[in-house]
Amino acid sequence: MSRNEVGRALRPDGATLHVTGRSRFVGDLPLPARALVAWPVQSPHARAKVGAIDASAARALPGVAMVLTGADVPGQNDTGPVRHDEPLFPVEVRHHGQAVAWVLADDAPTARRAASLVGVAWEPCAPMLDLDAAIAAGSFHTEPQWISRGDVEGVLAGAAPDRELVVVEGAFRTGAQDHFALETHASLAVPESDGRLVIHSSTQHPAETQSVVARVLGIDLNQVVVQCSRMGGGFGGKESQANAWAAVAALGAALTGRATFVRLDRDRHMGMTGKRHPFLARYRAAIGRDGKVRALDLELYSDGGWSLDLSDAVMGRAMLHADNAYRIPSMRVRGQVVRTDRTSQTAFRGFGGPQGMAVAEEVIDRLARAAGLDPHEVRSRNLYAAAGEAGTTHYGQEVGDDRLRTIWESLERSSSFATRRAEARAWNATAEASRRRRRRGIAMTPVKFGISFTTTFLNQAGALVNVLVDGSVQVHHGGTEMGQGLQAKLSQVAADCLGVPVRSIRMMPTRTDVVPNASATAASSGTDLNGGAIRDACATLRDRLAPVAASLLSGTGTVVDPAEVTFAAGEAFAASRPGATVAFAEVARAAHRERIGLSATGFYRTPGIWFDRGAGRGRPFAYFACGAAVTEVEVDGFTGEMTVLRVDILHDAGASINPLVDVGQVEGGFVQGMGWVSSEEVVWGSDGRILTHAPSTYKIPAATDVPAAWHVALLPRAAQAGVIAGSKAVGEPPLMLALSVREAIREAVAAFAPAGTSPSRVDLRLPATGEAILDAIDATRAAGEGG
Amino acid sequence: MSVREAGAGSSAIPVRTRTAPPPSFTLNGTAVSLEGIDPHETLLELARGQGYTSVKEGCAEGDCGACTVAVRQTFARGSTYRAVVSCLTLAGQLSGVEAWTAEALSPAPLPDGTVEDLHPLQAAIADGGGTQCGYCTPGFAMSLFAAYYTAPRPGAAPEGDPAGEVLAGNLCRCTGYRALREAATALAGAGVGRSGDPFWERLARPMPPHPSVSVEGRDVIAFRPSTIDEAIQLKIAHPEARIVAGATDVGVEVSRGGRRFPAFIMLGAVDQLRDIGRDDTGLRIGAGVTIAELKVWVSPVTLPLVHRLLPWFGSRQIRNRATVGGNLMTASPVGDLSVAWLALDAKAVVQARTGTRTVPISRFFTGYRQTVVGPNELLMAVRVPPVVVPPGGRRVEWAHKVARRDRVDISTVVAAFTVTLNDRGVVTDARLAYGGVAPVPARAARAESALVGASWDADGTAAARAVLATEFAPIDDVRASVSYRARLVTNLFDRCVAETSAP
Repeated sequence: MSRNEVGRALRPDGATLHVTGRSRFVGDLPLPARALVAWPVQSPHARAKVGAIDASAARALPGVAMVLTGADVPGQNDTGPVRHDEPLFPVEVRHHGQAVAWVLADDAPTARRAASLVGVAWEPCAPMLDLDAAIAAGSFHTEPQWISRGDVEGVLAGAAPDRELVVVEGAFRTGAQDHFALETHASLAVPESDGRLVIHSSTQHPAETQSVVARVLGIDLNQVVVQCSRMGGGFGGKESQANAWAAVAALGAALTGRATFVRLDRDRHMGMTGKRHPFLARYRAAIGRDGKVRALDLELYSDGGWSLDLSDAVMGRAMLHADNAYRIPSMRVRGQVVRTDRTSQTAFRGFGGPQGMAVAEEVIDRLARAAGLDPHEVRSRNLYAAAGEAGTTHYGQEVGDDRLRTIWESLERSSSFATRRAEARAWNATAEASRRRRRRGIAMTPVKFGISFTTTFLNQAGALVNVLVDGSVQVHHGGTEMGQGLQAKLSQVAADCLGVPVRSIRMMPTRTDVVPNASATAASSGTDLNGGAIRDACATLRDRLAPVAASLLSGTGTVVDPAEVTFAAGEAFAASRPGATVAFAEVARAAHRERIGLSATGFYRTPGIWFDRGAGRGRPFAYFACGAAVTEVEVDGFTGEMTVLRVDILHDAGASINPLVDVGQVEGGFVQGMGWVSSEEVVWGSDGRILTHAPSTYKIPAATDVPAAWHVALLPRAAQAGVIAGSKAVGEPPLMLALSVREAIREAVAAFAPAGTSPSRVDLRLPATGEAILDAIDATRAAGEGG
Repeated sequence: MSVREAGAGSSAIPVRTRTAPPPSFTLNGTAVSLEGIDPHETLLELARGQGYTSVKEGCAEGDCGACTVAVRQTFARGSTYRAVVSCLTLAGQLSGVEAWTAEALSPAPLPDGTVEDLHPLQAAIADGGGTQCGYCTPGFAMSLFAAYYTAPRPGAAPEGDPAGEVLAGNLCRCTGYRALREAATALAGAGVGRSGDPFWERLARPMPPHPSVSVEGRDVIAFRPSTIDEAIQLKIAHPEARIVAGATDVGVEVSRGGRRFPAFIMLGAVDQLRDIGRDDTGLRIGAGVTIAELKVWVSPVTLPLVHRLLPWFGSRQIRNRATVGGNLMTASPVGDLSVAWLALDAKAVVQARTGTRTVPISRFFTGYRQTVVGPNELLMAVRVPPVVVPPGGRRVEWAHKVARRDRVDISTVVAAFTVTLNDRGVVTDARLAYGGVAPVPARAARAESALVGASWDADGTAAARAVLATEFAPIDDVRASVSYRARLVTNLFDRCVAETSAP
């Protein structure tokens, strides 16, 4: 494959449409005539039996076509993606705001008014709203999973008398996070005259949306087409949780024969859909005086909410990332998904990885401070080696290269880490810092993120590439565009695979009737998998076109061998005929005249990956995406307010297919992660209602929160063998670079200890809101005074 | 009795006369009729209904900026483009408004999707990596558009964050904002005086008049008086009507909450409410002055306390619509300006048909979301008395807002203090105002008394601080715990002392 288009920082195809206001999302599609709009009837209780539903007043309202209830479901009343535990119309509601009926009306205000007129005989019962109480009550979705290596008990039990080891134990929690995609969930179902349904859905997983719709309607998959042209942000929130709304739209369309549109407004979106899982970690860990971590015994509990959704896999990934980038010789991880009466927590960029890695950083910091060691030094000393014992994870996969160390040392230099840390400490000792009660902290954290779906069979993709007789090309694949630049990167891949300029490539909307049975666009795998499938399809086409080109290039006395034909920049040429070229369009036209198929499918499956869940062993990942970040912050000891002063990032995106796109993923992922660890806090009321229901109460980072000084670089000379174009997945990994923000805050908090002392622990909640930071500062000051 | 009958039945009340022109506004250069439009309808809905689907709903409460459009407004001298959130702009306010969406910025794309002539700000966003999923992008474009044609204010603080000021009201979940900030830095003011630019040249044209035309839906009317007398008469005749200034608060109830009102009285055309000026009794700020206009007017010299607080007030889009009077009348416990008025000992000027009365802001709020303004009265203005500093003394004016996020957030606790010191550094007068710690914005009266006679340093103020710690009984809510709020009450005072006392 040539690299004419791949590697260029091309402006993504959609960018022009976006800035001119012409890009259409599901909610922007013109509604067909007589279309209906749906509005939910929601539970005011977190848990209640649903008695009689009286919709007579709603039905009587002019403009109301129908009120959908469970009795209207022709197929299965269930939308669960893994386990069938999600009734679309429940007989018992399991979270506040859950829909029990849907009003279909001529317009949204009418539907909304009618929904308020639907009477429901609720029989409330006591909800399970607390993670600890649920654990105590044995309320779980899953049996525990285990990953174990080495003699954890032996190390920890033997540690007490061993003066060379320092042991800590504790509990640590991470908070929920709302995806806050700017586009809320939306689906438009259009009935076709032959009984098929075409559903435009903002979904990361059209094939699963198709399957859930068919299940609810009790029809075959071939009756349903799901199309996703683009999403206004996904972040995992539309991986499984777009399905229910598509099912409501489909049900409305099937029953009324009229197109039906469902869009959750912001409050309903935030109140009805899952978040990043809150986690509780209980740990015991040991470190040697040499700064080497010896053992970690870890129990992870995630709050899965009311249904299982993808929680089992999320927990699995958390367990696989509880080492972050650190070699821990004896390590045991137990993970279990807890059931509560809250929204069903779901995929969110990182998919458990952030929680697992936050725990790893928490443990490293606890160990270092307890042993009187520098946390930065401890991080550095425990980074994985490339191979062998010191380069093998707790589940038995070798890291495979020494990029972690390369990145670590390179970033230490480029960020002037040591100098700046000394400067921050000197500043903290000034009279000004003391008078203004301000401290600065600087910290560096690594990221090692495994790439591949941990459910191995999902690592497959299909594509369909059509060459038209004018030489232009349409590319279909199963991936979806949500802003991550997938279409841009894949258009560059397709262009180079066929040897045409990128302007000849038209990326087509994702449709389940063109590329069927596709996996979700998730796990950062969109480019790797679909790129592999497109390359396969393009190779087939090139093999068919090469003989045609060869014959066109052959002249009097010279016969060109198809094997020596090269396609590049929209032309074909051959070494044996220097100077002779034939346009790609001409080759396409000639092939068509010779009755050669110009359309080819492609397929890809990631080779060499496996995981034995029972044994907790395997090679679940094709490779690891690595990076590191240095963050410097200043905190205010009066208020707990925090300012990010500077961020330096070095990230490994392999041989980047599109640096503009990849740097955008790094920057955006970092800021989203920064929100998770700082300002974003999902607050539930005592009745189970989500109180942070909209941007007025739920604060994602704004343009004023990003670092004033910000240096992002991609690791140079980083081509990854065995991946499309030598690139690496980049969607999720950068989010966890933001753990450096949290550790920098912790450093700043530690600096509130009396001069010359260093606290033996610094507890900091996640998210580190102003209140959490002030609590940590006050505790540190109080401990200093007490000591 | 329907609202319309009420209006028509009272002959003294100026309802829409049959000779008045039909209400309309201009959208992307084309007139759009408001005849028969429900005044609850938002500009967001109207624009999308006209096919301008770049205007996106992201939250319907004015906090995400995805629905940002630009409106041409008379502002200070001349007209400028101002970014506003269309989800909080009601049809009843639109008569005579000229609004622009992202579709208007460049010619329609060619059949292959490319655009030959992107507006410079569009090119900057697209080429710099300022758009990923694209849903928020048109809103960002319109915030940048307004900034592009607005000259940066001379004397704007160099240590400030001008790019952040332009963009803080627009949320993006994808990009991390770096490219958008770079575009704002490079392009703010770049369109000023750009000859041949139709948007710049349009600013020289006279503004369409703000006609006093009601917008009347099927069962609801939005009156639009042009004088104070008319407004008061309408209020008397229609006690059920909701009074609306900028609609940044009531708009949330309508747009997000789906709430309906029987009638509106829209104050936007009452020019008498928009005066701002100084006389011998101090400063008088009309109730209809927008926060953005106030922000232009104030400086560290004219009104330092307000100058310090205003960057924390909403977003640029909100400040362009919200008014000084609306902010007081909504009587929020965390009204960011209310604490400033309290600390400045300001007075509310309240007018009835029969005359005017003046009420100190400290007695203006009567309870949670309640004020002294009666059913027959209208808030006219805020008066700020002149500052008197003893010879050789000095005046401390200090304010700080603590929220979950630095910009565009609701206060957890907001504090505004004015302290007068004599030539020996002893406090002669103090006002400590807080929001977020009581049902109404309130002063710490006992601590204020305890401060008088104290020297302005940590030791001297310790006794007053102890009193302050007992002054309020804040509550737990979605933003913070009691403990945090209680600590902020004293810590903000400590921080003020630390920052303003002699080192």
